[in-house]
Amino acid sequence: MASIGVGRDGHELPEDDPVARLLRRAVLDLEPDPLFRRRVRGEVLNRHVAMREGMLAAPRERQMGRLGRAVLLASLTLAVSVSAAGAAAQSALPGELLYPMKLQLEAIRLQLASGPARADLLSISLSTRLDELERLAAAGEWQLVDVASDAVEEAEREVRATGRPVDATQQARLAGRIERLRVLLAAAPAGGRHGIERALQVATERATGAARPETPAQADASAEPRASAPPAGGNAGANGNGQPVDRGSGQGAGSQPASPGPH
Amino acid sequence: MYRPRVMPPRDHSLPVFIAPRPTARVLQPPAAPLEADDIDALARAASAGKTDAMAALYDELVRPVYRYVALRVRHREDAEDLTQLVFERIVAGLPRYRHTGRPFQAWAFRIARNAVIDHRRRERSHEPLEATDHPGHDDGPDARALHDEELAELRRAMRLLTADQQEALALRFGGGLSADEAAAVMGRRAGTIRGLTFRAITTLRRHLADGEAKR
Repeated sequence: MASIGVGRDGHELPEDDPVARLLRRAVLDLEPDPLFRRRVRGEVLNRHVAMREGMLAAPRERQMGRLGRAVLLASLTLAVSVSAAGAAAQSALPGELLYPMKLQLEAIRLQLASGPARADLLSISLSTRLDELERLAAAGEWQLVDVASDAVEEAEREVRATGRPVDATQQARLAGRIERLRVLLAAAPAGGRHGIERALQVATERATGAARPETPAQADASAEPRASAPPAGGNAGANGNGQPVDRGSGQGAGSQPASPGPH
Repeated sequence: MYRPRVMPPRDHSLPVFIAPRPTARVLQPPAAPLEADDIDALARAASAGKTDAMAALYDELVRPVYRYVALRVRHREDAEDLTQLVFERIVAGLPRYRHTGRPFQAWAFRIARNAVIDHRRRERSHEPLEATDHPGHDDGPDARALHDEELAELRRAMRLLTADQQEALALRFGGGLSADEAAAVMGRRAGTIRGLTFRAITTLRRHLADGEAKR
């Protein structure tokens, strides 16, 4: 005989169990009223016909299903597009269409990063800004070079705020960059020099580990000991006209002369 | 001799809508419940737009759905409203069912279960098996009184079951579902449903025996 239930011990409850029979009798009492059945039947069939003929709006669940599929498809398309555009944006330069996306992606990476990873990313950002400036200068986009130099200084401030010292590898790279910037500076017209000089100054300070003042007050405070102290040899930057200027104390014994030439 | 036919004067008052009387075949329950495959076939035809299949589907399911709902709510009006709501949702969801491939009965009872859950959440009334206002059989007065007393005792005992046990009993005895079908509705395994049924009936038996002993 079939069972309607099985206990944990494997004991089976037969179909004709007295309580089950009582339940079946109780259920028989629950009979829908014939008038109710007839009325609902008519309404259900009318609704079915209306659905079939398109006279009734599609069910919300179905709409949501379609909407969900559409959103999913759009999201996938967007993800693919963003990935492709993001890859393309990595080589974008200031003034190009994808450059804002490049900056946004960097900002997102920074938000997701923490601690040492964040310092690394900021250092990479500074390197990227300097790259961009070099490429713009090499392309003769002198107006944009000035804009790029602002971004370089901004990136340098953020790197400096992390307090991360420059290691030997970075110093070597910075030395190469300084050389390239000097060459670019030599070839730059008068209108494009200022931006390269600012970038050169940043690169030099990074390479030598020289600290730039955060604020004018800090600058004043740091100017006093510099005035009384003997000038550190060879630690120079460039002024707005491309003339060598003393940039203050050179920290680190290995600081190399980085003053750019007049051109 | 030609005699012109005199037509009765037309009544220009409110029109009278005469609803077609359902045939006796419609209101009669089928001789035997359809198999699950037959119900699925009806559902596929109904989802393809065949209204006679929808009618047959309704005729097949209205009793079990109503009984399941009535076991879970207190008042006949609630049971009727919810049954109607369930069928409206079934009709609305038929196009979606076509793509799922699930047994239709389990799908339909899942709709019913969700409707009951929503209703109970709104009502905050978790005493569905207390004395209800569902009419019973047309037995004689003595038999009726005995039957009512028995059912009242049963309902009191069922209140002591867990929510899952009540749900399992309502699906299996009210909805007439197998353990496998009830498992699909409740999102459990068939073995779990059999266990719930076993424990529910054992508990009912104990409480009914206690009540008998006290009398």
